[in-house]
Amino acid sequence: MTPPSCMTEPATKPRLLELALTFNKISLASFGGGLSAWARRVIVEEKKWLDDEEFLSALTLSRVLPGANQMNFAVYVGNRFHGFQGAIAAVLGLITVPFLIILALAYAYFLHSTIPATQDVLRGVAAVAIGLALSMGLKTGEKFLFNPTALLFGALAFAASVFLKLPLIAVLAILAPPAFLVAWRHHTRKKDAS
Amino acid sequence: MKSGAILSLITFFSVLSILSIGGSNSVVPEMARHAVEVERWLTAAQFTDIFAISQAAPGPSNLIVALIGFKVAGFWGALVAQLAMMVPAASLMLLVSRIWVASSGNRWHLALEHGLAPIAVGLIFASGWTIAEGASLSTIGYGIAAACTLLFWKSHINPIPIMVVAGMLGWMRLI
Repeated sequence: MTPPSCMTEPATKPRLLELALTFNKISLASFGGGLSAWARRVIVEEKKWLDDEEFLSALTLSRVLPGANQMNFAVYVGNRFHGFQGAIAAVLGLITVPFLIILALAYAYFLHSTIPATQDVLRGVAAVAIGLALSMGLKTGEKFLFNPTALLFGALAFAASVFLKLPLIAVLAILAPPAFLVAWRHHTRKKDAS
Repeated sequence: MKSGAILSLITFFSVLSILSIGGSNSVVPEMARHAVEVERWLTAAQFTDIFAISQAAPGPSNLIVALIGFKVAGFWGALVAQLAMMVPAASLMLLVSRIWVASSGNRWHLALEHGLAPIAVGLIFASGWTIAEGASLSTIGYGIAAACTLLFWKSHINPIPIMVVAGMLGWMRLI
C-alpha cells in the first residue's frame, strides 16, 4: 500500500525562470493536446517536483475543471511552488512560443492561403503519442497490479470512456464517489490498526 | 467597428472559457456555431482548416482561439481572444489548486487522492486508445505505436526525436 503522501517537498524549489522554461519545454513537445505523458516525464521523472500520486490528482483536477488541461496543470504546478507569480510564470512559459508559432501559421494561412501538410504529419506523430499515453498508463498503473479494488475502478473508468463513450465529467460523477468511500474506509481501518 | 469586434471576442471567449469543462476541444462545436453561423467571422471550410492547424501546432489545444481572433482583428484580436479564453478558467484553477494544496494531509484529501488515482490511470489508457481509434494508422503505424509503448515504459529515452522522425515518416506517407 502506498503511504499517505503529505505532499513531500522536492529537494530544490524551482525558480520562476526554471518554471517558465520547463513549461516551455513541455508545451513544445505536445501536439494535439496529448500532453500528459510528456508532462509526467518532465515533472515527475526528470525534475522530481511532484510524486506520482500528486501528479495524478493534479492531472485529474486539470482535466475536470474548465480550461485547456495543459494550462490548468501549469497553473497547479506554478502555484504549488510560487503562488500567483509561479502560476503566471508557468502559464507564460507554456503559451508564449506556441502563441508566436500559431501567429505565424495564422499569417501564412489567412494572408497567403497556404496550409501545411498537417494531416500526414499528425498521423506519424499520433503513432508516438499513442505509445507515450499507453506507457504512462503502464508506469502509473504498475503498482495497482495486485490491488483488486484499484484494478476494478481503473477498468471501469477505461470501459466507461472507451466503450460507453461517456464524457469525462460523467465518468467521474459515477466512479469518484464509490472510489472515495472505499479509500475513506481504508484510511479509517489503517488509523484504527495503528 | 474594430473595437466592437474586439469586445465581442472578449465576451464570447471569456464565457466559453468557463464552459470548457474537460478541455477546450469540448467547446469546439459551440465555437464553430458562433464563429461561422452567428458572427460570420470565417467560413466553415476555414474553420475546419484552422482546427487542423491548431491540432498540429505545438502547445495547448485552445490556440484555435488565437487563429479566430487573428482573422477578426489581426495580432491584437489574436492576443485578446487568447487571453479571454485563458484568464477565467485559469483563475478558477488557481483557486481550486490553493484549496487542494492547503488541504494536503487532511483525511478527505488523502481519500480523494487515493480513490481517484486508479480512475485517472484508467482514463490515461482510454486516451491512448481513443487516439489510436481516431488516427487511422497503417499496420506499420500500429507497430510503431506498440514499440513506442514498450520503449517508453521500460526506458528513459527522450520521445521528442522519435516524434520528429515519425512526423517526417507520416509526411512522406510511410505511416
